[in-house]
Amino acid sequence: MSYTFALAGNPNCGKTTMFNEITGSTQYVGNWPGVTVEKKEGRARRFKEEIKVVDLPGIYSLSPYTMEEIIARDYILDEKPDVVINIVDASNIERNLYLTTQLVELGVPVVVALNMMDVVTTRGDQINLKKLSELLGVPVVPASASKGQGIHDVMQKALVVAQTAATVEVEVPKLRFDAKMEKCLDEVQNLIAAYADRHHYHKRWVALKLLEEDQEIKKKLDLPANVEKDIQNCIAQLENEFDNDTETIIADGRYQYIADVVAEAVKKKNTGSTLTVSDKIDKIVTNRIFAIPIFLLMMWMVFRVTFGAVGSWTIDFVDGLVNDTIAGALSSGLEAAGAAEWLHALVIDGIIGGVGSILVFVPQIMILFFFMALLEDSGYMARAAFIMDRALRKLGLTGKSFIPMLMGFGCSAPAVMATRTLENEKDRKLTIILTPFMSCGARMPIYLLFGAAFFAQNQSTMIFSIYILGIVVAIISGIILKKTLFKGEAAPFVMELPPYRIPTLKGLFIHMWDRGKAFLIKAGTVIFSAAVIIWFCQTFSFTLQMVEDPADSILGVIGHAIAPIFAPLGFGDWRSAVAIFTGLVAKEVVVATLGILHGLGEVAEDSMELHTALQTYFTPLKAYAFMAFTLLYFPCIAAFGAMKRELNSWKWTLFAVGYQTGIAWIVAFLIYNVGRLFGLT
Amino acid sequence: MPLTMMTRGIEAIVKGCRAKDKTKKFLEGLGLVPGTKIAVVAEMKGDLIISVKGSRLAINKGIAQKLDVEAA
Ligand SMILES: Nc1nc2c(ncn2[C@@H]2O[C@H](COP(=O)(O)OP(=O)(O)OP(=O)(O)O)[C@@H](O)[C@H]2O)c(=O)[nH]1
Repeated sequence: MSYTFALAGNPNCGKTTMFNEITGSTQYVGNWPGVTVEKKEGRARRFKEEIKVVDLPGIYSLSPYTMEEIIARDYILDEKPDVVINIVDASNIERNLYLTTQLVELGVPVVVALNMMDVVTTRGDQINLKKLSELLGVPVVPASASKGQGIHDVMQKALVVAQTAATVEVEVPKLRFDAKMEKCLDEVQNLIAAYADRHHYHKRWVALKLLEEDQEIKKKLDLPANVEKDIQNCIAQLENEFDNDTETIIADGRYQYIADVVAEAVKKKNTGSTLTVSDKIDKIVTNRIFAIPIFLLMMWMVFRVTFGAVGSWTIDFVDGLVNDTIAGALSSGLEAAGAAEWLHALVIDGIIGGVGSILVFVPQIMILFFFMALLEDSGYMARAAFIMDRALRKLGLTGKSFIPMLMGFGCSAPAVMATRTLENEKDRKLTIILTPFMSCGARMPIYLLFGAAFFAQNQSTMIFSIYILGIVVAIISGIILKKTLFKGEAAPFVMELPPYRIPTLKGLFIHMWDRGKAFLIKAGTVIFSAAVIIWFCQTFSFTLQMVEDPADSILGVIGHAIAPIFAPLGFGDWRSAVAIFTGLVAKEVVVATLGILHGLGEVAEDSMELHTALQTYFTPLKAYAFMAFTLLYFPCIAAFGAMKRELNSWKWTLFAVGYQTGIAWIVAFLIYNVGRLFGLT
Repeated sequence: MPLTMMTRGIEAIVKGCRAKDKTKKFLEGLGLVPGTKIAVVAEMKGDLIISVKGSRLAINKGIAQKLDVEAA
């Protein structure tokens, strides 16, 4: 037999941790059809049965107000997984059970995995599991996902439920509302019974949703007008009686029921409002005077470690490995095998020169991702969003824009996707347009290369200034776009702040590896192919003759043609023009291209030689203008694709990249020409 | 009275919410229904961190103004 289990739970309940524990390395990450919300699937380990586990998006309720809620709900209703494993954060049980009350109404077997039990124990609280299970009418299994405890029990229980589901009737939800509400529910149930059966939906649940005036369900059922009218009457009557809208009455009913359940099954050691450790930390990090300095200090520290001593050590290490050891071995191997000269050139100049110049930076990019994961998992990221809300509001954004923007320092493509959490269309568009100005990891190699070649004395300050430049451009753009295209208030800010936690090393490494892997795959595929093509195009002419002087090659001709565009910015030589052109594919390719174009005929050319080569074409001022241009122009194919999907409009996508490229030209122009006025070179 | 007028550290009870429909529903999902006990944990220039049913919510000033509460 094969089964499908779905994991559902609030954001931050430990769902990802649980999913990783259950599936190990069998996970498959994709997207939900039609939308860019991440969909994760995997196969449960340690079971002889074939169990597919699907990770649903983190949600607070099953109302249809966010994309995530609709996805989760439709999946359960339409795909009918054998069991829904509802992960409940036991340390925050009241709020988490709200979703539980809704899940059990769907008529699919539910098993509650009561996670974070270690936190409950440390606090000295007690939860009567048997009682809780009785009151909720579903099995409850304790677990601590981050400690690897209870996971097998949860799965075992779910398996038993799945295997017996056919013979046992799913329990009727225990939750009962106010008598008047129940009466209306009965009426509506009778009215819609036939329609609900047609879709195999639970009647009671459908009735509740209709009383809540849920448009999605209405659309699905396609009720006749007279039935709709009867339902409207019920709603009007209820709203009149309770002097509130039905959704609020129902939400209230749920919370009252939960309060009763918790009162009976949970014994809290500390009731009352004593401040937790998290609260005390929050008082400091959100203090009106210290909040911003603390925030900046954190960012600065991340930067120092990534680009400082640790980062440069990893570069030297990989550089030695790739450019000396591997290239040397390959070169002598090829010579010994009597390989043709062109093959030798392709491998050493094209592939090692291109891919190698990127590989060098992978460890550093991983370090950056490590810190991003650290900020996220510790809980500080949510605070940062809160702290930045006020400032971002002035740019027409909200604190929620902050997280995608910070992710943008890692990689623009997922950052653009992360804008999904913004409810407001306008805020989302603006965030998507501005996020690529945050300098991503792929751009880092460019700064590191030029930084080392031209700003050896104050390399990390110069690189830092490029990052700041991106932020400043985003701020100015935000103000301008806000005043012109995106008038109006940004959405209000509401966000749950998870308690601070010490992140697990395992969790951090999984995050870091996931992202790092994406870079490595890119280096192995896109950049590898780009390197081969670039090498080919700089070796052959349009008539497919091998050329003596690369200026006559295909790339040379293209480069010469577009170089005049960049002449006013200080870098009008054809090689730089080609690098910018090929950089449209991915920004790592800029460095790869320069590596190939300047490393002609050299065996095992190392970074020093590339530096010298660059120094003949660039001055520090020109180099800085070049860095600024590559920071700001068209992000890359992957980000472009993400923007197109998220903006869902060619017009807006082309506007966004056109704007970015235009700004890049203007800023580089200003840097070069104003710099010259001040006598810089 | 609006939540913005509440003194820090004192508990209060939610009376109602005057936010727009979608926002209101979202807040309800997070536990801000009439009758819920809440407390302000921290404040930053009008933006608040409040404690609701054991969890912590960050809300901006605009929302705080639309939440009506009374002293517990
Ligand atoms: N103490 C404790 N911490 C846990 C437990 N399970 C998860 N965590 C931590 O809780 C945090 C959130 O866990 P995630 O697995 O990322 O939660 P999630 O539900 O996937 O959250 P989103 O990705 O935001 O939807 C992480 O820092 C975990 O290490 C647990 O059983 N006990």
